Amino acid sequence: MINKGFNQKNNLSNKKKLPPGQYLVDYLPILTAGPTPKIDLKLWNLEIYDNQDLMKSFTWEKFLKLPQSEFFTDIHCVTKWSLFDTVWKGVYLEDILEKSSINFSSGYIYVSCYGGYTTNIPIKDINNKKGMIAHSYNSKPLEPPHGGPARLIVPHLYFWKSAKWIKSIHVIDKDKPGFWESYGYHMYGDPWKEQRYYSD
Amino acid sequence: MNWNIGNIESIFSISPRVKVFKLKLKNNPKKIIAGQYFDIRLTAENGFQAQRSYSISSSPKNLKFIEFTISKSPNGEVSEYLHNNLQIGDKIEVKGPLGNYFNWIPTNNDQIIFFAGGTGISPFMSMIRHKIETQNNSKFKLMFSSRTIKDILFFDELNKYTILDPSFDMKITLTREKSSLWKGLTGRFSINEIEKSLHNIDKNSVNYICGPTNFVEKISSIILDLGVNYDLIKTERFG
Ligand SMILES: Cc1cc2nc3c(=O)[nH]c(=O)nc-3n(C[C@H](O)[C@H](O)[C@H](O)COP(=O)(O)OP(=O)(O)OC[C@H]3O[C@@H](n4cnc5c(N)ncnc54)[C@H](O)[C@@H]3O)c2cc1C
Repeated sequence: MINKGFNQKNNLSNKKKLPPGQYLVDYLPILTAGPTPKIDLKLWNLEIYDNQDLMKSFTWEKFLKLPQSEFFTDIHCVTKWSLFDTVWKGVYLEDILEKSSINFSSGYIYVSCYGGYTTNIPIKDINNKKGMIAHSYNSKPLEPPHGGPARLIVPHLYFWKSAKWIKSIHVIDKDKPGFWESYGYHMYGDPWKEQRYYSD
Repeated sequence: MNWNIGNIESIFSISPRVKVFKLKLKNNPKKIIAGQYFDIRLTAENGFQAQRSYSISSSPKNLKFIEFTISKSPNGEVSEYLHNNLQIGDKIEVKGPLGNYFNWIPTNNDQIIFFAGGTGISPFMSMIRHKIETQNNSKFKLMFSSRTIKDILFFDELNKYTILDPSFDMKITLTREKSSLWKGLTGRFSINEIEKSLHNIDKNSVNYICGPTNFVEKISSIILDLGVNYDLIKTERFG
């Protein structure tokens, strides 16, 4: 259905293809269901579980000693904006799981955050450098409203999967919905298939 | 969920920057919950499409006619078109209702504080209208931040509700009003003022915050510092 007189306005240099229904922005917007939690780095802890068993716990210092990598990527938020060419720095998830002696060839991860947010992702979507826990964005420490001190980055899925303020990862056998997944959003969330809502 | 069609029934300017659009839906949704939104999709002649979300500001009881309260963003792709081009009788594509979190499902004896910045009032209008219509006895307190007197959205209607319903209460602050005609609060809500609003309301009350990102960040940070439980704060950022 054509809306007469409607034209593309904010024509940012759009050399790459956008997923369906998305539009390009030139800054990182903030969309969170709750407030930005206040996190003390001295108390910050990342816990890795194999189902219910605690396998490893990283303090902030220990986390920064893990192999550090850079991740260049485009990101796509379910609220329709996309941002091209972002740079994140942090630790690839597979490096963290390996250090935690977890056999992670199949199953899912269930991520919990400061503030209580949760989300679920298949293991196959974080293998082979597809997912990272990032502590810096465009060469600066990640600001709290954007998920600092550290957030997940799984950019080939809608950005609600890239949970802010990460606190723990449970590797689980059976998938279960996280926060937005329980509020009508898609279990998987592939932007290229426009899997926004549970019925998509 | 499929795209639906909305026929523009009326358009009203309610402030220098905000219009209310009333749409008649081709297919009526089965149910709307106060606080939900629709996606609007516009298509250009060359096939370019843009989608944005807009909260329902009408009562959720109206399944046939829904209203959006939309401010004109400077150079905004979608909101400028809606403001400048859209005419009564035009049709637009809409999908909804969406959003199952920033909602109010009426139960009696709730205690709720709403913090609204500008058009952040839209989802709250739906909740407040629903409360008034159903004579729900929950205690609602609205903390509403606007720029100037002219920018206070739904001022008369909200005033009327404070008189009609003793369990609805409102405090307005104006951040850019210079006129001495305004006797109320000015500037951003102070920590003091926010603390006062939390005082005479139950500790387990839910806090809804909606508006521009900066407003939501600021208010949520203040009420966290004042000791409000993280889980009792719901936010919606309009960007
Ligand atoms: C769930 C939900 C409900 C919403 N409900 C409402 C509602 O009821 N009423 C309403 O008016 N809006 C609402 N919004 C906002 C709405 O969806 C649009 O975002 C808004 O109308 C702007 O869209 P636009 O196409 O006009 O502007 P766009 O073209 O998308 O963007 C222009 C605006 O983006 C901002 N911007 C652009 N670049 C930058 C930058 N570098 N840094 C900072 N800011 C920048 C500027 O403010 C600018 O005016 C809602 C949003 C959500 C997510």
